[in-house]
Formats: sequence, structure tokens, C-alpha cells
Amino acid sequence: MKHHLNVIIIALRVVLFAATVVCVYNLVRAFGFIENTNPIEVNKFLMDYFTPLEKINLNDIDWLAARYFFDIKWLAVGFMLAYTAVLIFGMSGIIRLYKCLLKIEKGQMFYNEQGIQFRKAGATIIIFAKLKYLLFCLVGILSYLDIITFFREIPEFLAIYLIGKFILIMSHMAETGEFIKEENELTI
Amino acid sequence: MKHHLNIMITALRITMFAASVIAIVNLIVAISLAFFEDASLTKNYFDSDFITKTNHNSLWLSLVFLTLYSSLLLYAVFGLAKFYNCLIKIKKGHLFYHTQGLEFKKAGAAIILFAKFKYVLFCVMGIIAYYDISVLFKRIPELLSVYMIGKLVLLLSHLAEKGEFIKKENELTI
Repeated sequence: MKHHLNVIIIALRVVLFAATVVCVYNLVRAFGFIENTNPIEVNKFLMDYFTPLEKINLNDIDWLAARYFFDIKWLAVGFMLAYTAVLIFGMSGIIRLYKCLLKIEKGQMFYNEQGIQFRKAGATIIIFAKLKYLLFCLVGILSYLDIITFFREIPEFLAIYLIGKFILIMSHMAETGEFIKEENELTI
Repeated sequence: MKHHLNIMITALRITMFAASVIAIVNLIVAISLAFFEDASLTKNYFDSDFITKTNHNSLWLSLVFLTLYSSLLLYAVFGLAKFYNCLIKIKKGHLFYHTQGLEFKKAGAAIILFAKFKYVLFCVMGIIAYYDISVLFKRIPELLSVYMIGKLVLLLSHLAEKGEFIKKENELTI
């Protein structure tokens, strides 16, 4: 069993590391954009994530679905900051799961609050999936009227959402196990 | 809790249905390939899976690939069905029953084996039939995600086994 646990723990470490790198990259890009007023760079950057509904002139800062409301530069900065915040929120859930798995690896099964910890981790991952989907759809629409994002993001959303649900089922099992263990100790 | 279980059960039903449909479509394509004996048809069919730049279209290799892929998908459906049965029993309130851990373990092992065999099958087909080395890297994300899901199911089996043990101990103590 330890082998399987180790594999999951290593995978979680890799995911945490990758998410941290993405967060740092996002923050660096966001601060870079605050001082940068070149619309070509901002447009190019946003087009890494989204596809414009029709061909656009990269130099034209006015070509936007949200052109009447605010500057594309601030949309990019806001998107990066919000994405970083969502990622940090997701990482908090993964860290919770990671700690639970470390305790299981040490042989502490059905300890007090294990079920609650699993439940919080699962709930955080599900909320992360929903927030990320909403953020991408919203910014896609605001920046380039990118309706395809609604469908393009669905597989990733579903995958993360179902993993969250899976962890919630684990939490149910852990809670039942805790209850039986407590009952057992009381009987003895 | 039932709400989460229902979602997982529905997702499993859809996955099993989709996998069965793909397996049947692959078998129908294999039969039609054998019937028409037209090697160029194989190239069109594999365009989305491999970079089919070469004109080297082996009919028999494609037939073997499609048959193996279909059987692999059916094997995965079998593994998912085991997992599905376990979840249905949990939904009915039977938690930590006898052999639950074993059933979860079999389901997890089947999912992991499916992920590994699918990767190997696609790599072998891509390299032998179309000299496409990029398939070695292109298939890694899918391999890793299915593999990790299998590992999570194995973790669930560990939880179930421990629970079974404590439950048995509890009943013996009483």
C-alpha cells in the first residue's frame, strides 16, 4: 500500500510545485503589464489563453468586447491576479489532502477529524474547479467575446470536479471508519 | 453524501457507455476494413490519433490495433463496472462489507493496467505504422491522469480494508 501512497504523494508535490511556478509567473507578468502600455504584448498574452471571435488588429487597443468600460491592460492584470488567487485557493485544498495522506502513510488511519479534513480538501478542489471555469469564461467573453472557452474548459472542469467528488466519497468512508473505531474503543 | 455518490455514479455510467460505444465503433471499422481491404481507409481513420505523413498503411496492423484497442476498452469497462457496483452498494448503506476492499483493489488495478496498456498500444502503433515518435509524449498526460485515478481507487481500497478490519473486530468484541 505504501507504494501507491508514495506515488500519490509525489504527484501532489509535483502539482503543488507546478501551481507555485504558475502563480509566480502570473504575478511577474501582472506587474510587468502595469508598467507596460504596449497593446500588442497584452493582446498576444491574452491570446495564449483565449481565441478572438474574429480576426483582430493586435495594435488596436480599442478592439474589445469591454472596450467601452476599461482598458485591456487592466483586464489582463486583473485576470492574472484573480487566476493566482484561485490557484492559491486550490493549493490550500491540495495541501490539506497531502497532509491527510502523510498521516495515513505514517499508519494513522481513521484518526479524529480525518473525515473533516478530507471533506474540506474535496470541497476546496470542487470550488477551485468552478471558480477557474467561471474566471476563464468571464475573461474570455470580456476580452475577445470568446464563446468557445465555455466548451474548451469543460473537460478540465469536469476532471477536477470529479476528483473533488471522489475525495468527498473518501471523506464519507473516513467518517464512518472513525465512528466504528470510536465505538470499538468505547466497547473495549 | 448521496448527492456526491449520485454524481459519481452518473459520471461512471456515461464513461462506461462512451467506452462501450467507442469499442463497438472500432470493431465495426475493423470489420469494414477487412471487408473492403482498402489500406488508404486506415490512414483517414488514424489521422486524429497519429501524424500519418507516410503512405505506409498496413491493413493488418490496423486491424490488430483496432481489435486490441476494443478489447482494452471492454476491459476498462469491466474495471469501471466493479467500481460502479461498489459505489451502488455504498449508496445503499453497505459500507465496509466483506470483500469491499478487494473489489476496490481489482477496480483500481484494472484502471491502472488499462492506462499502461493503452499507452503502450498507441506508442507501438504510432511508431511501427507511421514512424510517429511524437505519440510517445502526446499520450503522457492521458496516461498520467488515468493512472492517478487508478491509484486513488487503490487508496480507497486501503481505506475500505482497514474499515472492514475494524468493523469485524468491533463485531467480535460485542
